Amino acid sequence: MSSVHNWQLGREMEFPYEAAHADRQFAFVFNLNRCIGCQSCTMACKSTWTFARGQEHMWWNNVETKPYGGYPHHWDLKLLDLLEQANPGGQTWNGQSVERTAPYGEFLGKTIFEAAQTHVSPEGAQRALGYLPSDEEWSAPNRFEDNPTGNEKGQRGRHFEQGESEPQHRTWFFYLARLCNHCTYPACLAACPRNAIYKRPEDGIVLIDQERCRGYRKCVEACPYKKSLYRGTTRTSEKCIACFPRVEGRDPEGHGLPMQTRCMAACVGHIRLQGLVEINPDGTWREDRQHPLYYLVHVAKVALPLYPQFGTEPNGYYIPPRWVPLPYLRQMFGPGVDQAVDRYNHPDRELLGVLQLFGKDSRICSRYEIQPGPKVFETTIRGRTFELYNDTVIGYAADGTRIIEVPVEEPVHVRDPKHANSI
Amino acid sequence: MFATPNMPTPSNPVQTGFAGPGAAISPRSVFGNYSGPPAPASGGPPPATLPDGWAPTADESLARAFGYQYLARAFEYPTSDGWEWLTSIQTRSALESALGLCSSGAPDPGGSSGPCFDHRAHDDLPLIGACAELIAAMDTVSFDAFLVDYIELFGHAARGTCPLNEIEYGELKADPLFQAHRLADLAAFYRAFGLELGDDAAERQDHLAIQFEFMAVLAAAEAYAIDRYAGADARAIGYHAQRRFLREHPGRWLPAFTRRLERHTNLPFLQVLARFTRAFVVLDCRRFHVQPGSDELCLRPVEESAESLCDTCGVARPGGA
Repeated sequence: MSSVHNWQLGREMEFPYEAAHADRQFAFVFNLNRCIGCQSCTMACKSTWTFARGQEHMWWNNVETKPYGGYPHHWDLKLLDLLEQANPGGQTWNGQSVERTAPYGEFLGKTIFEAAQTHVSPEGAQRALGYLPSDEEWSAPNRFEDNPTGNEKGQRGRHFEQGESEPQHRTWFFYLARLCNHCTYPACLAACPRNAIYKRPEDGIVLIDQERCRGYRKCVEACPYKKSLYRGTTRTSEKCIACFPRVEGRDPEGHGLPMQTRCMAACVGHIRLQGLVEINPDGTWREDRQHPLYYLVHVAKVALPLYPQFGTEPNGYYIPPRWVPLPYLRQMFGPGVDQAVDRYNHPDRELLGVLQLFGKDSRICSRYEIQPGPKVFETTIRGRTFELYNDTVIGYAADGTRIIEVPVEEPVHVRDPKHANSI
Repeated sequence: MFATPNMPTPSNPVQTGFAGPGAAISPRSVFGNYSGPPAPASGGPPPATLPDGWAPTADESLARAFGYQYLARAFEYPTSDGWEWLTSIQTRSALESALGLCSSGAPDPGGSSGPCFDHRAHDDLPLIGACAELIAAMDTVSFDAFLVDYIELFGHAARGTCPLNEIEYGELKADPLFQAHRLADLAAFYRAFGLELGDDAAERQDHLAIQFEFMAVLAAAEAYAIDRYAGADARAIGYHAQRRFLREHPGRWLPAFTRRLERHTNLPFLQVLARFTRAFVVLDCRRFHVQPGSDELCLRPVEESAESLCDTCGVARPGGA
């Protein structure tokens, strides 16, 4: 076991391989305040990659309703429970953030790699603490969809009085869209006995070599997000491939420019922004102030990693849904939640501008500029002044091509009432 | 604007690695754990090897094929025509002569048959004796009695006391191939030899009769190969295919199935059939140097509470931690 630095945890941690990093990393930010659970992303991925025999049960991208849903069932609860059993009461953070190297503070508990060293799971000894979901748990991926929390006292059919009251609702649910996080320290890669899983240096995408894989399913067992899936017809495991031909720029639609993945491009609600971020030798993100992902994660700090306490350093970040009780969000996204929710509730001009980049073009945006516009609106929200400026956001691809130009306020056209059906 | 484009390029061997000085940098994985796709195999598949002294005759293989065919018919859903064939004079004498050939070619149970054998695990019931018992018992039972017991023991919709399907046996967690994958494995095996379940087939791939039918086909194919081809390759394929199928499928669960059948039936014919089936399959396992499976395999639980988890949290089992 080696010691590697995990900046999301703010400390060194154990990992079976020496520290090594990609030059650029595939990363994404999802704005969960906007997800409507339409499953367009799910179907885009399904129709592109997992439509063949043996893949019927596979959902490389899925959208589950929290708190009760999950694909596979209760995957996060089971992982959290395993970790809690391995380290009772110890899965906490120290609450002292340090810029860049420990933005969320230091995680004092055990990651799945560390827990596996002292805690033998029911499956036997592992490199990363995990479990193999049963066939039943893989079924019904939309289980508990649209089911909110019930009454706290468990009374059937009754919900909280005024459950929708601010700031956090008592009757709540939200949609959690997930795919492989192409982690910096992938548990799947760590667990594979045949070294059939690799992380590409050019974009950090994690792939399973289908010729080398023998279907042992240690990756399925180890992945805490359960995004490695076994295929019975080929007897190999498969996972999200991050549409790597598109990321490489080989999709004709992009005319040579790197494109976002199919699920990102298909998103109807414009909740997704995916790109490539440059990585420093120590594994932290290279400072790139005008990169939209860098801005959202490290400057505005509204985007947080999913279950960072697992320890794989996932590269999928989420803007937390602001109506969900904070303790739940803290467990899911770490201690940065309070600041993220507050910031999103009171967005400044730049944040509003960057949020408009989501879903505006299928090509990867590497840089943005904001051209100031006139002030168009002002109000008070929760006691604080909010001003809306109709700035224009410009987005550029990696080679400098201007790919996005959009105002913050959506233009409104009113049709002539004389010919109401005409354009 | 950028001076140098930030465009990703496919992996090339020249990479700046961070794995430390002297570490071999894989061109494909940042961690150096992956060495690239395997080199394409040069030439054809490796030469098939046969165990020393392996030289069955075509007649022996055909005899085995007939034995399996008999067993397949015996365990498929009973029809009066099928019963007539099973108990007819011609079938009885064919069975006797076939088994005479099977036994004569089999390895000596007391002899050295390889390190994988455990002779203590299974009864050494001579096959001929079991066959004689079976034939004698045919006169003691009517088709109706057989049908009634068949339905009661082997069930129809969900499962009876003594399932005829392979995936009902064995500890779920201990089985390296999950149930659904085991079915896929069987289908793939059949398909590899050009066979698929018929559209009108009433049973799954893992049904005993289907597996016996497949063994009959493999044995018949072996007879054909011995008859037609002088080379060892064709025979080797036959050997390895039968060995592998026996080891992974019927050889694995038949002993437990026959033990269960023997224990649960009151019909003497079925008891004798169980013993005969066991003797036949165990002998075949020995022939192919396969260790027969355990006598005691548990059945897959059907009660929901035994295998499901708490619906709300997915962690605890209902009724306590």
